[in-house]
Amino acid sequence: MTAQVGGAPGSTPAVAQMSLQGRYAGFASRFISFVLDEAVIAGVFMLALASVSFVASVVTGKPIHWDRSDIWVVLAFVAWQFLYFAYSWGASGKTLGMAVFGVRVVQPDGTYASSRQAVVRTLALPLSFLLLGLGFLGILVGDRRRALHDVIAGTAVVYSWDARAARLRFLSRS
Amino acid sequence: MDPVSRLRSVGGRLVPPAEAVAQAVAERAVELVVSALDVNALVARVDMDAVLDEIDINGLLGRVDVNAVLDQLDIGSLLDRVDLNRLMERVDLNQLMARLDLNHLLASVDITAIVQQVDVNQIVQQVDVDEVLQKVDLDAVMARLDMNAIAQRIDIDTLIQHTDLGAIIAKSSGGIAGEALDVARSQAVGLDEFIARWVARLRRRPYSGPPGPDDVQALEEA
Repeated sequence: MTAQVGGAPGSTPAVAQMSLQGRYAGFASRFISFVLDEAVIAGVFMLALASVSFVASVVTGKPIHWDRSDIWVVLAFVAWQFLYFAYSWGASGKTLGMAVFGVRVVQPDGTYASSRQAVVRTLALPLSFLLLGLGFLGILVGDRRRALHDVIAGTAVVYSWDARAARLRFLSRS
Repeated sequence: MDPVSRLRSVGGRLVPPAEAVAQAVAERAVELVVSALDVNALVARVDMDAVLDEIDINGLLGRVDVNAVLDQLDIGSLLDRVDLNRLMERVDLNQLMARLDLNHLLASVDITAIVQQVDVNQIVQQVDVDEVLQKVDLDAVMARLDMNAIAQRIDIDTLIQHTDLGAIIAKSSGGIAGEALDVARSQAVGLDEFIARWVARLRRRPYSGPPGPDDVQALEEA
């Protein structure tokens, strides 16, 4: 399962011989990168709230205590999420988490996704969750591994890293 | 005197002149007949086919001693009189070659036996390899080479492990962060493949690796 980089020569899995670049990304890579993105979003948001609270306490002398049920906090969090995903996908086709795990959003023909597609994809993303997660089923069973929000936005997610080069680097170090 | 003997003597004197006269008359008559004959017309009236039918050609040839005829022939002097150059000029070699069944001809030739008689080493020693190589258009040769196919035949894993190429790659690539990134991505891809294989197994479908657009797959296979 983890023999992509390691493993004895001669028993190298076929996938380790591929560069993987341009091939449709699988469920695990996408899910882990999404989790990493959510952690980044939450961390940056909490850091921002703490910063605002600190500045307010310095300026007014009274610290601000944020409440999770506060509608403004919820709206700010949703807006931040939207901005994070839409901007990342529109600007470079990948978020921070996707960059770490070597996946990116593209159009089905492999070209970069447009800003409009990035915005539509961001807006359609919650739908995949709201349908009891069935929106992600396409990643597992679809020929092009597209989730519901991919189908709506006309996008796909592909590997953007060169697995074969990584394997060669590993072999050169071992 | 016997009258019979007298007659014999008279006859003996008269016969020679009479024979001469008869001979002259006969020759004259033959000349007149021959001059009066139209030989062409006569030949035209002859049925040659009927004449030939009457002749036993086989029997005639059977009576000919061919060996004796050939023994009397001086083939050498006959050939000396033949102008081969002139003969060859009259031969249409293209037409001759067109009528030749070369495949049939080659099928009957024992190429192996011919090759065995050839001293290849001696031939090679006479070849100026440098001159041959100078005539080779290497660019054209390289253009015909399928470099991708050649690269596919190289065992890169072994190459890197047994040469300094590995050290060069290691120096040119990133450090610990890059290594960690490679490992994280590889682990994720491994998980992708694990899940994809199980899903394919549940769906009773074959799985041969992550799918991709047709052009990407074609590029990989190339």
